Amino acid sequence: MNLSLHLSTDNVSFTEIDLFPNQVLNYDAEFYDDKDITKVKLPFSTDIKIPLSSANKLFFGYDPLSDDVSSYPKSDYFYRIYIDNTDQTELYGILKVEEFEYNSDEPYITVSLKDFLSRFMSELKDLKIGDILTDSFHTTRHEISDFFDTTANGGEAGTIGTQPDVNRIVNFPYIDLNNDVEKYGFSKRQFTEYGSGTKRPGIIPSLSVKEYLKQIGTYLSTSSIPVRVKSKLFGINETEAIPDFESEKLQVVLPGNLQAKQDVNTRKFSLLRASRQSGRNESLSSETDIDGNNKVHSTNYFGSYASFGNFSSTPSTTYQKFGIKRALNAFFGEDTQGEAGYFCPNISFDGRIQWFNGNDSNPSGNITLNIPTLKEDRFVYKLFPQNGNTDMKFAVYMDLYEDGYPKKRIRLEDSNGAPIVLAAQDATAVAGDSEKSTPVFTNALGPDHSIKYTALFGLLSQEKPAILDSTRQLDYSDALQWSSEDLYLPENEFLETTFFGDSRYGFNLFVEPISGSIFAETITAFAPVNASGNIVNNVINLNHFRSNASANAIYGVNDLRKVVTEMAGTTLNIECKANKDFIPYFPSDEYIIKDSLNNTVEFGPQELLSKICKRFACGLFYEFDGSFHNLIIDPIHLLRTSTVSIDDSVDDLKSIKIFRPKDLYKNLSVSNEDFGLFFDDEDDNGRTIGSTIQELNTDGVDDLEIKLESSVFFKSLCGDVYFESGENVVQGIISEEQAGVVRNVPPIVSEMGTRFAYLNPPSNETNILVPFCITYISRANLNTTTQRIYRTMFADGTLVEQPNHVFNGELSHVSSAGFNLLAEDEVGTTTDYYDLISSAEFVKAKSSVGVEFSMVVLTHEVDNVSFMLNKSTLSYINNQKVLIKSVSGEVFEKYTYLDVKGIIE
Amino acid sequence: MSYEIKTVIAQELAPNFSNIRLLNNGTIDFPSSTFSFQDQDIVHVRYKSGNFRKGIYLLAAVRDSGTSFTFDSNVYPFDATVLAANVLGASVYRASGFTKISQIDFNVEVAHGLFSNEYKKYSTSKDFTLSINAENKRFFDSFDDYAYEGKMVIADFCNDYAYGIALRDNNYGLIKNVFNTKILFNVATR
Repeated sequence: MNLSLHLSTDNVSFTEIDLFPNQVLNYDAEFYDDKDITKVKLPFSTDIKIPLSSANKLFFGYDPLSDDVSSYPKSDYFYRIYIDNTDQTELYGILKVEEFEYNSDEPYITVSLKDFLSRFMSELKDLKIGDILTDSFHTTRHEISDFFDTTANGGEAGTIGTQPDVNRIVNFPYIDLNNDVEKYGFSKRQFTEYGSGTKRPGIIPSLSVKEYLKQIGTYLSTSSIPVRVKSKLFGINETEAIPDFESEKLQVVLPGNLQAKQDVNTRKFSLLRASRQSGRNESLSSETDIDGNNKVHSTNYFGSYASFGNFSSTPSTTYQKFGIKRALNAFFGEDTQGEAGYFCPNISFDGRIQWFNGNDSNPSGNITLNIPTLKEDRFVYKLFPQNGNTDMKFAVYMDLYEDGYPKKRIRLEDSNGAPIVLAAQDATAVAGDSEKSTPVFTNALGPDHSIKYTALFGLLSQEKPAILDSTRQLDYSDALQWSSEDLYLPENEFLETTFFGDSRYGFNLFVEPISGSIFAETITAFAPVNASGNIVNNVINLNHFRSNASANAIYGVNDLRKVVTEMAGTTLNIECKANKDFIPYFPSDEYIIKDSLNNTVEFGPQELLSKICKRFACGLFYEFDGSFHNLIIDPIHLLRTSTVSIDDSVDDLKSIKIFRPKDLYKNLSVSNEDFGLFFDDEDDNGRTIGSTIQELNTDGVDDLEIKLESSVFFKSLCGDVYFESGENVVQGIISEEQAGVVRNVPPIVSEMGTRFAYLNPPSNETNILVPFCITYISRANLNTTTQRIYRTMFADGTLVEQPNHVFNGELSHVSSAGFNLLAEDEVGTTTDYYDLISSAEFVKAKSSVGVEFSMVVLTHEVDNVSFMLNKSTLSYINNQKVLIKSVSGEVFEKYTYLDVKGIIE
Repeated sequence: MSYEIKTVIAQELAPNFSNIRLLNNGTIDFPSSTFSFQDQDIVHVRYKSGNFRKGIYLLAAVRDSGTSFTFDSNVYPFDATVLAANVLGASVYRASGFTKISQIDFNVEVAHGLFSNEYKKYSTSKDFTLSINAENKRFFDSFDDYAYEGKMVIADFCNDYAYGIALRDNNYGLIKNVFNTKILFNVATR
């Protein structure tokens, strides 16, 4: 056969490729695959071998004998095949280089020829859902205040009683997320954030299925490859096949949300460090050890918890732009759990921790680590860091606390990115700040720095100060001191976290031992003395205790149970700052629709296309009509509109085979996916809303199950029923409305699934509510440290409230013309949607008689999809209509010989 | 009849042959050529017809009256509509010596693809082959030069035709280094 193969990298400039003599060209096409739409092979697919000639190696830029394998041609090539027949047939598509086989008599390259569908799918594969939205409206910034303007004015608001503009690709309709419509009878309110966390937002987008599909064609189109989408079902460049379907109103609700850009009104708060903080700080205040034995001494030095918080020399509690700031002039807090101040953000955001001054590093200043006692009751007299038995190592940590509990531990690093290791041998032993010289329970730093000694005096324990005797008071050294280190924060991934609205945040910066031993001299006994320092033998004259025996020993990491870190640096405060886009809060926030979709929706256009095809039984087909590369998205049965006789084409030299359905199914089961939301299975009967099972064949055995990877919007996307309202609501300190009490749990946005719905006119206004945290300033009798309430969105600074918003439409599972997206309605009757699915050819194929025969067609007829879309009649099967499912054969210039498989309608 | 196989001396002379013209009388014209053809030169002209590459092998006859070229139109259908711009180039093969052959058998294989009880034709293929008698030719030290050549042409001085050819078999039956069967060639049709 005389044919030529031309390749191009840009579909503009083509190069003819060497072929073998009498090159054979097979033809392989398959109509549909109900498992994977990407496996459809239309109109043409085959592999051929071409010679590994010099010219071909030059074109592909790769010679396996001499080139590095990195040069292997992995990209797609555009191909054109010209067949030298009277019709001058041309085939177009995409070529991939599959393999080189050489070191043989006839070295060759195997290439696969596919249609453009594979290229289209490949181009869509790694895109995010918003990437195909290339127009400026979707890619430029808008203010949230603009969002509340009407769509006609460039906003996102609808008009009560008016059908929303059906030509918009992205819409923001009212979507009930907590069963409010059932509670209030209308869409009374919408929270920008439900509960606490960035995963429960309130402004959810939907896409117009029709407009998004059209946009896919626009996105794929280039000057050299003009692409358009065609669909009879969705009425795209074709007349809509099912008018009641109202494709222009069909939406798909995305599991994503509107986001505000992180560089405007950037959510952030700072936390100031106290000069002394502890990480490891066990309770040593008990007078007996863990085995019940009397201890030599006990201590309440620096409390019994890690100390953290938000320090200030001027204590205050203030409402800030992004939340409540409480700052304390204390090393640990008002309660006994170490929290000394906090910041409580109003709304959640994803962010990172950084130094407040924005530097990569900050100097620690001298680092002093107080080790007042070892084990449970080894009152430290002297540490010996340079002793040969000392090799202890220490690390520097930062802990971020959330609601009083450590949330994230960060190990600080040096300038090389290595974790900082402080060696005891590099430290100087100095006197710490606990009180060991004067017989009082307080010292200059406050009561937290005293050592309390308790011993049995007779049978009675006595709380009296314990100090060193006069010979030791001047030279004790119970702390290690290092010179300043530059403290670097690690890579971003270790600093990133979600900051939850209504949670309290504080931090600490401290040194902890990580390995080795330290040699120390500790007090092993105290003597009771009177105020003059003389030993006494009765309680009445007892004034304090004085050391009178000591011992040297080696102590390990676990023996340092209470250590307090002091850093002299003055720039060690931190800032917690949003580093990703966040949930809108202020009218002055800004948003970009494309970014919002890309950031929050976890799948892309290809997966959405797959969901759409699966739900509406569509196949994907390709056809070049001379002007456009058409991506056809339709159920096949809607495309089979012509009937032709193929009697003259059938090869009746060969037998014709007719056979029973290979899979005779009893029932057709259509199942929406259960995403675990309340209305997915309201009556908990195991059948997802809108699913159905209908009999196909009484003689069948198994069921044909169509499991849709999506569902339908039905009433609300709320979760389970929720009864809790909170302590302050129960006691009447705040109201249910203020607390934003919901009847059902709102969904986690990424888990609420992809849902199809119709967009109907909005019927009322909705109050847009934002979370706001209060404390005793506004409610003195609160039972909790803070309380989150909801208030109407307000402008930063002016506090002007946002008027009610008219969402751009409401969702329903039924079109205004009555097309019901549920396969079975609420009373169990099948719907138009079920009729559409049950009419799908891959369903019919399961119960239809199959047929196989051979035929010869003009080659120019198989260069497009039209030939296969015909319903074919032939007298050998009583002129009944054959629906071709697949063909394979060989091209012979003007004619192509095909083995055909199909079903008889 | 006398046939001769010529060994290859190929010269790419496309610059001089940029305006080759195929003439209606079935010959070819090199109007502005400065190349000095010699008698019995074999010329391979390559041209493009639509999206397909085609070619003709011609035999040059240099006479006092001028140089003429002839070719076998049965193997190389003449296309007088090809524009000079579509002529891709030409190569000249000049023999350094001749191997005389007493007999050459030219064979045409025509295959038809038929379907239906009407025996309707859906494909036709035509392949040309030729064979030469072994004539006690030795393989090593003689014929193996041809086996490794990148290009082979054959001239038929009885009919004044020329063909591009390629050895058809990989396996040559030899007895004491002498062919014992005919030697088969495929005939290039372009």
